[in-house]
Amino acid sequence: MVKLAWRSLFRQRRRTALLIAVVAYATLAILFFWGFVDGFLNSIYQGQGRLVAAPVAIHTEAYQADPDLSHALTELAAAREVAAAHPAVSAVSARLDVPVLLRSPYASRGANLRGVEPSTEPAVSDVPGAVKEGRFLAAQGEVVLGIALARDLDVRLGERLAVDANGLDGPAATGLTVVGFVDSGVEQVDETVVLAHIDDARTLSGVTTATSLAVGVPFGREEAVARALNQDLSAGVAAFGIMDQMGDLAQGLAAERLQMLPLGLLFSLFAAVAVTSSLVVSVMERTREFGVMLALGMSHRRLGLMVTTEAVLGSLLGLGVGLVLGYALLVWLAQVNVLGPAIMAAYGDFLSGLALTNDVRADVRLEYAMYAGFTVVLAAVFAVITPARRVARLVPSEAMRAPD
Amino acid sequence: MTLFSVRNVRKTYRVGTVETHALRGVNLEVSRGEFTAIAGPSGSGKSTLLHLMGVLDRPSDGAVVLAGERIDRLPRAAAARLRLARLGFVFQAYNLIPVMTALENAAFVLELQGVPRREREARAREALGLLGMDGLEGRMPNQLSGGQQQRVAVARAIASGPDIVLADEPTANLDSATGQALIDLMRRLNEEQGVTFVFSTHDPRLLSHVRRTVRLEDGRVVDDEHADAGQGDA
Amino acid sequence: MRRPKRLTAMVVCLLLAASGTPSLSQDVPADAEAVLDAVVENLRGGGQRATIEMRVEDGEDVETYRLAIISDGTDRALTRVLEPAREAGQAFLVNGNDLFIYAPRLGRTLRLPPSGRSDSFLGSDLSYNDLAGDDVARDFTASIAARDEATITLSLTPNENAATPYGEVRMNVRLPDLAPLRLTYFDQRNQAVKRIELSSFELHDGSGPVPTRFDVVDLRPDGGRTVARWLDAEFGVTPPDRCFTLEALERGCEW
Ligand SMILES: Nc1ncnc2c1ncn2[C@@H]1O[C@H](COP(=O)(O)OP(=O)(O)OP(=O)(O)O)[C@@H](O)[C@H]1O
Ligand SMILES: [Mg+2]
Repeated sequence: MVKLAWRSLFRQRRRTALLIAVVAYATLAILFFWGFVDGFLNSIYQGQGRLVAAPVAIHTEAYQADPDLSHALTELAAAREVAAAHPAVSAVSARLDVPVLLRSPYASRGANLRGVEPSTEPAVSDVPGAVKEGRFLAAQGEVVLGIALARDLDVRLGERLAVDANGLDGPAATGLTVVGFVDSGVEQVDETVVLAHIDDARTLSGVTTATSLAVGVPFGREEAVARALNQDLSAGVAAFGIMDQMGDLAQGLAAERLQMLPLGLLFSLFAAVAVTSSLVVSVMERTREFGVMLALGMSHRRLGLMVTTEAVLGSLLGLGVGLVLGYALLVWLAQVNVLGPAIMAAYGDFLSGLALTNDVRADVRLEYAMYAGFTVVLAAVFAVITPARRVARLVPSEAMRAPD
Repeated sequence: MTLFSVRNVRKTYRVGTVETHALRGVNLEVSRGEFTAIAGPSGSGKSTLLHLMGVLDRPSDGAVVLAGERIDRLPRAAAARLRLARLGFVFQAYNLIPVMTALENAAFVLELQGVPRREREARAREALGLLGMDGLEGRMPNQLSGGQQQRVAVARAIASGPDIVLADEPTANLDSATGQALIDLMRRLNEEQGVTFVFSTHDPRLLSHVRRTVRLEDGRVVDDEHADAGQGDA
Repeated sequence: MRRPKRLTAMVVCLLLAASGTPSLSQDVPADAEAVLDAVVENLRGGGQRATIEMRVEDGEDVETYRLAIISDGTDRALTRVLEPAREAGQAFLVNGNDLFIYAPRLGRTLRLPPSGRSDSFLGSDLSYNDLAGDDVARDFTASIAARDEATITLSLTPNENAATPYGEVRMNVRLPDLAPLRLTYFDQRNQAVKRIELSSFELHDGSGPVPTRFDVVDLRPDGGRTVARWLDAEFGVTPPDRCFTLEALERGCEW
């Protein structure tokens, strides 16, 4: 039976090629769809983790609920020890976020000043690496600004910026010299980043420790590491993965992916219909051939089985081809930043609220093969139902009379 | 000895409210080894009769008996088994499976019967040889002439050694010389191999060498003429 | 929202800065720091109750406010907008580091968080820090840039890490009463960006010279101008504590 089906597939190259092409295309499209969606979300998460928040952040639960200076992390050393002990953790850096007013002679802006440890911050964040003009922090008394914020304030490198804060001990102010501009290409970052030495942040805020610990973790392991750290952190202190740090935004994005699901399903359904219809067409074309086979004594059951086997084999071939091509495409898109510029060109304005770099890589997950497989199975089910039923209804004497 | 008998068979087609009486009580007996032609004008019921004999369809009334067994009420699967095991078919056109070579087509019935590849190819080759198709075994149907295609169809019909070969206008798509040659080949197989043939035609010129001609008109047998044995031998 | 922001800033600044002068220093000190101290000292002091007219010019836009002010001369002040009608009823309470705003249309009192307070300073011609005396003393080092019969010109340069965005502030001080006449702010590129002129000095009950007119000029291209004039004023009063409560903010305070 399989041999018969093979022969028929192999001999009818045009028809088979068409079927393979249709299935392969559907598979490829599904792979691309999900690789793109997940890659896009990943780059948002990654951007959030590496540019805005931290891969994993340790702070008090009170701070998570209300990021106020009074909820600072007092047991800094203990938390740091816990984080550093985890094997997946590459770096730990303390941060002290203080709401401040920045003033230049020309303008003032409310901002969140992030006090950081200049030596360890580059290991947990991509922001220091995005300093394109000037340099990163080296000592107290310095500040690094997002380039767009700097433009708003009209400050230049080497100039002093007045910084006012309402600290725990009352108002505090200092002057910081601008030493570097962050030009990450991410609007949200370039418009909001204010980095200073953590000791300056301490002076401004009256907090002697930090508001949080930024923990460097390989991408994709944030939530797991956060969970592991939570086992060892003392009560009231907790580790948060990107999702937790993003809060509503993460939920929004997760919901977004859920919303993609019906779309993906619809996509799969279309693909299945395309595959099925190409199968149905090929069965209709072959009505007379099937009539002859039936007349010669082939049973309906066997004919149905043959048609089904052909469809399944052809679809599997198409699936195989589609998977190879699709994963090749995804691997390529994961290595080369093609999607980012394309998305930015198309939707840049729309996405400016997100910490999205113009670097978007496709995600490559095995489960996409499942989605595609599911689609092809769906198609095969249709195919077995529809063409096989047609075959079952064939009356040989009439089938042979079928027009060309 | 009677191999096939068709007893008072009627066939009425219904298309909507229109009834077509394709056969109106046909009786016919075919003995083993006979070479029988069914002649008649278009629409006279030749194909219908052959289809009923080939259990491709069921009569509205009457009985079809093969070697003493009624075959007109067989379930679909049993009918298929019967066709596969005991009947051979040649059709008017589009006989061959386009994706198979001449050899594979000729061996197709044997393949369906489950005959191992080596044996079925040998038998198919032999049948093709009897029909003068040596050397063309590897051709695809679209690489063969109409006459060659019909000869492959006949080879397929006889390769499995059926009780009877039913051929519905095997020459319809052939020019008269090629058609005549095909009929001659069939007759030789009948004489030399003892294959029982029933075939239909509406071309009276083909009937000159045929021993028995059954004439159908408007769904009825109007004439059943047996020539003397050897008379048509040329 | 632009105008109320500017208004808020103005009110905060004026109230903390110009609140009457209790004493008069007749001796003119010789060194710059001492001159600065004396000027700053002159600018702070006793309570006042006043009506102020404030004209805010911004290109074509001109808006005139009338404000009722009660101040205790230290770090508490209550201000209510009387005109224009659109803004009337809005009130501001400064109490130490806290700034509260009463919005009559909402019927609500808002406490401005630091970031909100920063909003209120945006784009204004003046800011709290510009005039707050103790900041000047802490953040700047004074030297005498020029001196003649009638005036001393002080040059104030920021100390290291001073919380000021300016490169230099020049202060013209009148002799011999040490009334500040003019403050000129330079950015860190030696461009003058702002000037504050104080005038219409008055003496009340043996007080020092009290300016009753402020001209704040934004010297940048398209910069605006704000003029504040004291229409009537009682200096040297001591308002009761209840005038600096949220209740007073919402309902007013009579005494
Ligand atoms: N499936 C069918 N449905 C309705 N009518 C049919 C059907 N098959 C045959 N007929 C009718 O039955 C009659 C006999 O048809 P049949 O095909 O047996 O004739 P035929 O002798 O083979 O003619 P031809 O020489 O043209 O092949 C015709 O009138 C035909 O229209
Ligand atoms: Mg016919």
